[in-house]
Amino acid sequence: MQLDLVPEIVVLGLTVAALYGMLPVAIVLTYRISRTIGFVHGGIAIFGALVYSYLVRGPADGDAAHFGHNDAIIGTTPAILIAIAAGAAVGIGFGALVMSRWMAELPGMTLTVISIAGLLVIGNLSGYYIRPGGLSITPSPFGDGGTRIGDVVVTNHRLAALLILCALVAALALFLSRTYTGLAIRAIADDVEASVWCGAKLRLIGTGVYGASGAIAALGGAMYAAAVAEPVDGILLLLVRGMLIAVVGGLRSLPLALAGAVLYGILETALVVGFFGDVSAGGREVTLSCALLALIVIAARVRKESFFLLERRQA
Amino acid sequence: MSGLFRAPGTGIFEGLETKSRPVIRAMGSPASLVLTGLLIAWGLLMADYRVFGLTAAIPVAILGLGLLVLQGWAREISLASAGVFASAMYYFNWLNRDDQGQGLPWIVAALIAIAIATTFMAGLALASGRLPVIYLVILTLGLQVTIEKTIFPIGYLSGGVSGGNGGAALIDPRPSPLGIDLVGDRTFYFFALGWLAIVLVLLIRLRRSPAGLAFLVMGSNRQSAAALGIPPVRFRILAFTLAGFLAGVGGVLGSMFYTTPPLFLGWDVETSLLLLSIPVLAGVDSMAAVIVMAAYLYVMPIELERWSIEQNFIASVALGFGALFGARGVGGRMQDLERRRRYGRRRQRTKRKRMATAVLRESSGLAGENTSVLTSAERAECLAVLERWLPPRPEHDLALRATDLRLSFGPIHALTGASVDVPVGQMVGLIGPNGAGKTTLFDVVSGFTTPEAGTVELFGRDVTRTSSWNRSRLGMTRTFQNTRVIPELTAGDNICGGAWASVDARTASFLAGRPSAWAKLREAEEAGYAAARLLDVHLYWDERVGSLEFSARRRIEIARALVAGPRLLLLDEPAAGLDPASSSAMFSLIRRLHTDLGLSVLIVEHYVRAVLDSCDLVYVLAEGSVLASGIPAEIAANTEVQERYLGTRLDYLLDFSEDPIPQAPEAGR
Repeated sequence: MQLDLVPEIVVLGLTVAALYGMLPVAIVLTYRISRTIGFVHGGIAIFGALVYSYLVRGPADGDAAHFGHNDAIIGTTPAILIAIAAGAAVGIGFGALVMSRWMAELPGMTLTVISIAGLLVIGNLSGYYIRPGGLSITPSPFGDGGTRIGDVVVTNHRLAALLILCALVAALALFLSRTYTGLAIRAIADDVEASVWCGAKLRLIGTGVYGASGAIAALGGAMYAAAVAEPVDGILLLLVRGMLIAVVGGLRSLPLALAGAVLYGILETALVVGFFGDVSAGGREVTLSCALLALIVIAARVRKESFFLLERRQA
Repeated sequence: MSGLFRAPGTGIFEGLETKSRPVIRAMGSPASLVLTGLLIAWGLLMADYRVFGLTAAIPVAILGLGLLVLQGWAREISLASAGVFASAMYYFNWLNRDDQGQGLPWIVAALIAIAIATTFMAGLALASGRLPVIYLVILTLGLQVTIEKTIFPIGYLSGGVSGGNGGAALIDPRPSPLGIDLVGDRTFYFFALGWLAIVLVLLIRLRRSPAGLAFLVMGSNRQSAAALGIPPVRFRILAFTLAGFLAGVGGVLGSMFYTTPPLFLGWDVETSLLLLSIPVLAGVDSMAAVIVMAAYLYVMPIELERWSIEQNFIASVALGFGALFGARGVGGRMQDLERRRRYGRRRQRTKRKRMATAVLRESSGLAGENTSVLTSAERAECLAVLERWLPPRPEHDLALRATDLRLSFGPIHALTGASVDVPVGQMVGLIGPNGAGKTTLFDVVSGFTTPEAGTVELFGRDVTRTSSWNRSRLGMTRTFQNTRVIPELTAGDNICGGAWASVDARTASFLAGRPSAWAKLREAEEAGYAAARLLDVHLYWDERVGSLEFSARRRIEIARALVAGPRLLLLDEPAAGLDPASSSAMFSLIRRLHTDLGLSVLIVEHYVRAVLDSCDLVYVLAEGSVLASGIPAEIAANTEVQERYLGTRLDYLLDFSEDPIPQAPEAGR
């Protein structure tokens, strides 16, 4: 082990965590309100990434000579705001659908399958109709520059992503603990029927939560699009990572999901920079998967979760 | 004499069709005959490209049957199906290939490839078998990504990232099993159909066996499975193993078909998600629908090519559409049509009539002591069948002894030293206000919750640390306050679902189609039908439980518990949700079963009058411990119980105060 790499691993790991951490936040939020895994956020993230890329790169016109030209429709800041708003709108639409009186009575697994269908339909339709062209790399709303932290230079984009994520988790934690709506969301997460009897407006709050998490997912997608060359394929992988990270927090805890993202980011960076020696890409994946599986099993044991317990809660 | 050799549908078993020869029964339905005819005609009459398209669907149909076991039966979701399928495909190609491969005989290569696929799924389930379902869904997604990152990029397996293994050939010519030349696509089509037929035969037999029903019970509700002696973790692991095995079988067949392994891009996460549409549309247990769905996914894109409609889009729309059909899927609707055809207008006509008269019949005929429409001879015969089925009576004074049970949930002390005895052959009631700890006590006694202190003995044996399913196998079964039957299945399947632990035949014998195994199942069916007749739900035997009224569902749950072979029956609020007349009828039924079968019964109930009328011994629980115990008259006269629970102005207290107090049973504390 090369201990001199530790500072670099921590700094880079945190910035990797920032990219991985957005989707788990959206997944945790919707799980709390509907007890289903928010696969649909993968579709919304793809949608957000493509909307943002389209606005800042312009449409693909199939003309090879045109490749590399900047045909931006609008600037990066309004573009990301539009992407967030569009994500929120899609989230509200999906939320209104699954929180409707008819759908709310369907079993959790059925709603999860509907969420998977949502991911595929939104992802496929977005990929088919929204085709960004122009520049090969999507520009970041935070510019191309970097910031030196110790011996490590971090792009402003990744640094901003990390700050946004931390601010988001802190704001949501405060919102959930200090506001009436937050209290209602927590009440719904614990006992839907009792919270409705106590006056929580399930459909309104549920649709709102889907809207907020849709906005976060679209933001995550847009930030990811500005960090990599081919965002669409990567976002599915990002979603998988995000789900595994969210499970570390039992799909209910935002701070634990954030901690899971940080641990995952640091471990992945450590493997990539060779902290544990030369590990192949496959070996890295197996190590990461086994580490996450172990973490999930341990976390479930600490929380004394079993399928009997969850079944009772759902009943 | 075994029921197998008895003419079906005679005497008290009128209306009970035999489940033996399930393959012939399944293949005899018009839907199956039409599907078989279409598949054969397709291979004989269609153009080459269409035959090719449907051949490509057959390995996926086998994979889909594995998903049906996992998702339809066990209600688990695997999002690694494409990766596992492709792994088997790539490994078979490499192991069987002579050129830069291992050159193993095709059968050996096939077995190893299937074993690899099976190990992936079984390994994941073994590592995480006790985690909640929703976690496991995500972990299977992790498995898919791990396969993509580790196996897919290996050049000699899949051709590598750029395909083609850097120019080296990956061609593995089709084998010639038993000297059959499979080079022609049409010949291979019928060869693949043969594989599919073998898989179908085995799966139909498994589905009709007690293990198949146990999968469904486990999938529907883990706790009720455990209460019936079905180990849920083991069946969960088995479901994943079987799904992995069938993905392996499909993958090997696919590898033979393509000869050169297809690019791994077609077997990524998205494909795994899309493949979900097969079991989602097929529903709980329609194998024919799985085949139709697989064919739809592979044949429709060829037909819709002119409109540039992709397979992904078709599958995602199918997935969303299929989910709206609920757990029964489109396949369930098809089965309903088939059921309607088989049982004809008689069922349709009687259903409405029965629903209209059910309330009247139950409130008049059943509420009295004469609770059944059976004649005395029929009743005696039903009891004799059930008595033969139940295990021998244990020679012990106490069926259950729970001593000084203590349990807290954080600051809440649910049990604070509760002690309860159930003497053998007695009906014991447990009453108390809400929050007294009755259900917690039931959960501790059933094995769903481990107490912090205290012991539970079952027929003299300490079972405090024994799992709930093993307690059931020692002779204790329970029902639940919220009735936990499987709405998608018939009453007969629901009732026989309790028989897994009691049928003395190995699942392998059922798969092999051994008549002795099916004879054992027939005995279980007869016991179930006898229980159904005693509880007056036999008319619903072939009807889906989801369409029945509440009281019938509850009686079906009790019949299922009886088939599990209990000597001690725990009933959690059997009268909850019933009107007073139906509640009285329910207690009369329970009382008669208890008397006629010599069952020990522990019953939790808020309907105090019925408990005091029916039970031999009553415990009153308050704040986690026993406030009072004794015969009903003593409880009714107990001033502390009156003050804290019963009140002092109820009419039934007068009834008991006028009666002389009978002698308390010796074993009661």
